[in-house]
Parts: sequence; structure tokens; C-alpha cells
Amino acid sequence: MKIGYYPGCSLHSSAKEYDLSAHLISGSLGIELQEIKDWNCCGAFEAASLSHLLALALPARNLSIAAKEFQKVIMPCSACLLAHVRVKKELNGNEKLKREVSEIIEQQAVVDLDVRHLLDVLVNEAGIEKIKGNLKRSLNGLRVACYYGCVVVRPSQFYHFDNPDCPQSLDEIITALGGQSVPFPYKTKCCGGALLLPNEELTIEMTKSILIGAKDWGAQCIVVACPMCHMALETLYPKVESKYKVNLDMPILYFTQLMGLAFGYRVKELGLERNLISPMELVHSLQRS
Amino acid sequence: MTTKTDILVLNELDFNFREEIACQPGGENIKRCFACGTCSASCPITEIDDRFNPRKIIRMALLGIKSEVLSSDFIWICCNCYLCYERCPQDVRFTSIIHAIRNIAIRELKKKKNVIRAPNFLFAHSFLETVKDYGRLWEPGLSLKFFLRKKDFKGILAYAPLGIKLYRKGKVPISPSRGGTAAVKRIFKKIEEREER
Repeated sequence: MKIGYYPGCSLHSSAKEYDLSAHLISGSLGIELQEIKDWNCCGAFEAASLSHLLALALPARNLSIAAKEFQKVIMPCSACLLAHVRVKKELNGNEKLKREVSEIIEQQAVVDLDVRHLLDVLVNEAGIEKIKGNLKRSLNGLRVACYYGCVVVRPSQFYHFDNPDCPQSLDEIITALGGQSVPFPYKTKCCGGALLLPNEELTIEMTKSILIGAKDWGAQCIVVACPMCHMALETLYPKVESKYKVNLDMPILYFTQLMGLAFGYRVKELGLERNLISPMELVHSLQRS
Repeated sequence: MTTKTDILVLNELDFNFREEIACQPGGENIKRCFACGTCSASCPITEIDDRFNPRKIIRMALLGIKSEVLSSDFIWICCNCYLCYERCPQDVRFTSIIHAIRNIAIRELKKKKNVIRAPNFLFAHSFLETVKDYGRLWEPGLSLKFFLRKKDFKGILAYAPLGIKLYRKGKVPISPSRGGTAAVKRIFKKIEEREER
């Protein structure tokens, strides 16, 4: 099954390891991700702040290009997902606005395709049984904090595949692979990733509750489903450790990286050496068990 | 004792401000707010710094305290987590209202009727400038643009070690990735022309 794939800017740079592992896992589950041609930045959170029209035009161009080849597009980044499901919601049924956006992007704006997050597709289309079927090396009781972040499950008025207050998709994957998802009350609490550069002090406070929370709830690692969460948690990790005098010992993996380990892929294939907080000790303990 | 800042001077209020927000896309539902405070109780920013308070921003907007709202740094601190949007019993859509207010603040800035110094504004501006140049985001370019715009040279030095670490991990490409570059340039140009009208 060939599906359109919109990697977004991060997966081509700071989150290459997410891109690598997303392709491998999807492939194992029989989904071939095909990158959309000549895609542009979706404008993330920033476009909406500066210009409503810009926040519609940038993702509308991507969807209109994708619609020429695909009926479905997968996004691994939650911020990209939000921008694209937002334009779908706003343009559907608003012909006047659609005409204006079409004029700006110099092509007919087509937004009525199926826009989905990678996590949604892996759990709800490939399915948990198929994921179990690919298990080569059990996670062997590994205690994992499943961190969803904010806009993958919110707002449910735009896109809904899991409970916006207490989502379960990641937990189901971890359990299916032999791991243990710890109770984690911070699963959808915002990490402040969008404020990382302009407002670091605030972001440290926001990541603190997630990082220290994961430790308090007995996790051995955190899995994430968004490159912005990964960047915020990894880069502020040493600052949280020194500010709060804690030893976190808590690698942060993309959920596709942890799935990849359970599917028997090698460290290099999954880009695990690129993570800033080294997960190698955890990888070795899984390999020994 | 009341201080001067606690007093609302009626003839300084702009009662049209709420209508202006309601006419801006995303701001339509502002008048539905009955001040229950679910937004502020949900907000992860308010939890850390209660000077940022969604309920208060809505109330100030409805009362017409326009210039204070538009020039405030706080309208730029919302982190777009959409928790208030998800939970609001009145479907006020605070996250979209913040976008609408920011759009108005920028319009007034262009007419030289407003001043914005918030770092988050400078960041968003730098972000989109990078996108306009290459069609996609280029993180090193964005960081440099942001610190220069903020005139924060210490910030550049403070971030340098992290930049080097990210580079060594292959996480910052030396040259920007490009996509839809010419088309995106034209999108920006058309929108700028429309917004100047």
C-alpha cells in the first residue's frame, strides 16, 4: 500500500532518526511511504501568529500537490499535522476562502484527502496484531513513559483518533512489544517546544515536569511521537538536571526507534547513535536479556 | 488602596475592539466567553507564570483595553497546546483568538500604531523569513536571524556549544534543504500585497 508522506522540515534535519525509523517500521508493516513532491514548510505554529492567510496557503499547497497522487497523507510531526488538519477544517465548505487560497497558491486548492498522524496509521490501520507479528526481540518488561505531547491528540475538533485527555495508542504498542507502559499523568502535557528558543526559562519549567515526572513514575525511558517534543526534552535535559539537581538517566526515543529495536533492526539503521541522550545502555540491556 | 493602573478610564476604552476581533478569522466566538476560567485552569503557562492568563486576556479584550492587549508581551507567550481550545465549554477557541489578536497587533504595527518587543514575535518573524527564503525551515539560519533581531549577542555565544553538539550529531545541515522555493516566495508576495490593501 503506497501512501503519501509529508516528512516536514525537522525530519530532514534535526530528526533524521525519526525519518529513518518511520520508513523501516512502516515498511515492516506493509506500508510504503512515498514522499510528496516539492513540498514546502507548513508554517508550523508561527504562520498563524503572523498571518491567517499564510497559515492556510502553506499547508494548502502541500495537500493540493499530494492530492494529485494520493488519497492519504501521513505526517510524523504533530505540528505539521496540526497545520494541515486545520486548513482542511477551514477550507471545507468555505468556497470563498478556498477560491482566495487557490489564487494565492496558483492552483486549485484541494484539501479533502485523508490526513493522518503516523501513530494513528500504525495502530489503527496496520494494527496491533500485525505489530505483534513483527516482534523479534521482546522489550522484556522495559518500563516506558509514553509521552504524546499536545497537538497529536488535540484539538479533537480538528482530528480525532484517540482520547485527547488520556490517549492509549502508544501504550498499546509498548504493551504489544512486551514492554510496560508506566502510569504517566503528563502524557499530553505540553513540553513548550514552540517556546524553546524565544523563552527558554519557561520551557525548562515545562519539560521539567515531564522529565522528572517520568522518573518519579518509574520509567526507564520516554517515547515521543513528535520532533519538537524530542528536541525540547533532549536539549533541556542537562539544564533540568543541573537546575533541579537530579540524575535523570532517562533516554528519549522516538516510538519508531523503540519499535525498531523490538522488530530486530540494528542501532545504526534506527539512527540511535544520533540521539543526544545516549540510549546505548538501554539498547545493550535489551540485547542481553 | 487602588493604584492608577487598576482604574479603567471609560473614554480610553475601545468598545469596537471586541467586534474587530470577532471579525478576524478565528476570533468569531470571543463574545461567547462567560469567564468560567477553564482556559486559565488548563493552561500550562499560567501554571508557571500567572501573569499570563487567558481568561484575563479575553476579559480585557471584551472591555476594550485595546492598546494594552496589543502591545503586551503576554499575547505572544501562548504555546499553542490547544488544551483550552479542547476544553472550553463555550467553544470560545482561545488559541484561535490569540492568533486573531496577534494578527491585529501586527496590522497595527505596520500602521505604526503599535509596538511589539516580545521575543516570541521576533522568533515567529525570523522563522517565516527563513521559510520565505528557502521554502523550508533551516534551523541554523533561523537561530542566527532570531538572535540578531533580538540584538542578543550573548545568546549566540550561549547557544554555540549546543549548535556544535547538534552539528556533530548530524542534526544541523550546513546548507538549507529547499522545496517549493519559488512557489513559496510568490505565496508570500501575494499575501503581502493583499494585506497592504
